[in-house]
Amino acid sequence: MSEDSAESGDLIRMIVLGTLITGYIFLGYAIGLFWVTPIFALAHLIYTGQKWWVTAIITIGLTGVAYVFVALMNLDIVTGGL
Amino acid sequence: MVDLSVLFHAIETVVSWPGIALLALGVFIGIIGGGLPGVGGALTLAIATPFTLQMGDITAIIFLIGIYNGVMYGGSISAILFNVPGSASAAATTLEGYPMARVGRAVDALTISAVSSAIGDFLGGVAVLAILPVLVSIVLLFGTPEYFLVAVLGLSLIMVVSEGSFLKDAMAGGFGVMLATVGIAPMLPTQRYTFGQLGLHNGISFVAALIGIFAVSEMLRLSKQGGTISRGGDVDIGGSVRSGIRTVLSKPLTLIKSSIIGLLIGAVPGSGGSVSTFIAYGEAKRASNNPEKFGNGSEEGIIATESSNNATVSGSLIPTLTFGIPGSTTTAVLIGALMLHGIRPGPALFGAQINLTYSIFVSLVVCSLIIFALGLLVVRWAGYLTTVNTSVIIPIIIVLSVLGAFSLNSNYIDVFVVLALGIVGYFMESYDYSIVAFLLGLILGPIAEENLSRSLSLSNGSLDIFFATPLRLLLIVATVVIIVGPYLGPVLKQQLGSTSNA
Repeated sequence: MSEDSAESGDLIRMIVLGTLITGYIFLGYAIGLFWVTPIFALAHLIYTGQKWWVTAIITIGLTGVAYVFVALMNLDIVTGGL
Repeated sequence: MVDLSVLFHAIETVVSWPGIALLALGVFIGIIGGGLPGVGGALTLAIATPFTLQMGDITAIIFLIGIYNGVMYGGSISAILFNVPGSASAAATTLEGYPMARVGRAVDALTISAVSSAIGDFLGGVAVLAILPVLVSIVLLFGTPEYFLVAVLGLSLIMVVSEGSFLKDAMAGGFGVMLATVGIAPMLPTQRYTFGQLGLHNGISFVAALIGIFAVSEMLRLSKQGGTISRGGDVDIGGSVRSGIRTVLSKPLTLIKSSIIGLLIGAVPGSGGSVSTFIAYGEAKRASNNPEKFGNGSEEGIIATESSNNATVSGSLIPTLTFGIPGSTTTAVLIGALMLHGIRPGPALFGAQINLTYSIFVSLVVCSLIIFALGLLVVRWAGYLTTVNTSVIIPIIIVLSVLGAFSLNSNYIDVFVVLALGIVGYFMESYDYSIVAFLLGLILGPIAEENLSRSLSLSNGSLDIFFATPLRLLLIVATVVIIVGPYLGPVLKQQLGSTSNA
């Protein structure tokens, strides 16, 4: 019984991640990956119950990475594809 | 005879700025990627490839070679410290490394691993540099019909890489070939499966497909696992660097023999580090004066697995660069990176672009020195690498994958490809469909199609062109042997056995 609940917990974690990735990509296509990147990171880190400072560092860091793509690689991830 | 001027030019390219810095950075990133279980070589390379777009061709490839080498060594860190191999090729190292760590000799084990990896790398790189001129003359014998036949030979290797159901692996290979047909046909102005989308005219981006198949599917799997990467708890990081170095240098025969095994097996497409390390391990145990120590923390075991593991890199680059046939999933990603920079594996790499080919193998030799230095530097704090929570790794990898895929062509279709193939890859792995077979189809399908069209144009549609020279006949025979061998072999053995009994 407990094994079953652990397995379903694992599966739910994976389904949540799959949904978050799908949302990240589709919403990114609609409004721009730059804006959705911190939302995706924040949502995943809060869902997995990380400490607030780990959540803050990773979210800010990944927003910085997205900014590097915009500033250094001249990628248009700010406006989206619609 | 080695072309010395080209060799010196390659050495200058690799050791001058920024080549040497990028090589060191690549090795460092590779060690981290290899040290994180589930990440591995193919995924680390796939994520790093889009970042090389701004680099020059040679520096980009040098950087990626550094990552490839770093991953091969990095995989041993978590194998030794936590009994969790960072990559499949480090699996054999767990057999001896973890027992050593358990008795407080982790630094010894990590040092032996670093020094053996460096020496394996060095010997592999030097050996390939020495045979490169011979390889050049062989590769230049190949024309369009030969390339078609080599691609078919490569596709037939699905039989060799097949570990479970052949039908499933053939389906995986066929799926790869099908995906490669998307876009405008190679010799005709015909659109295939583009559904009116301009972004699909150039076909599905190979690198985006790889990012999806490796990164997204692996993160979905890691999310099911949860928790931290290391599950064995704390390990005592004891031992000494000096004694580790002494141990390796006292076993020169094991080192050389294992490196040769790694080099030769690496050159067989579809095999790779996971095969060569176990063969080298078995041979070291067979030849050892203390075979009873194997399984309980034998230094010889680590020397054998790690030197063969890194020598595999040089070996696997031979079919990769000469014919575009990947020796492993990691070299499959490397082919994608080469193509991204407009470099087609084949005769051009041994003619007009010979500088690049020499630079790649010189990089391997220089990598050995970097791995030696970096490896010894990281042994004391390497354990921290494997205490990272998977929930922290997942958003980092996903964001880098998605942004990296978009940066390939500024095309959102590449991002959707990452998502779709990530899900497909997850189910393929879950239901034992070979990813290697899929990659063989994806890589070799278009090469076969293009060269078939060209050959038939040359011969006005006659198939006789494929039987015109002894080399082409040899390739056909090799393909037939690979396909029917697994079925005919046992029957022939049985026949021979019954004849000798009678």
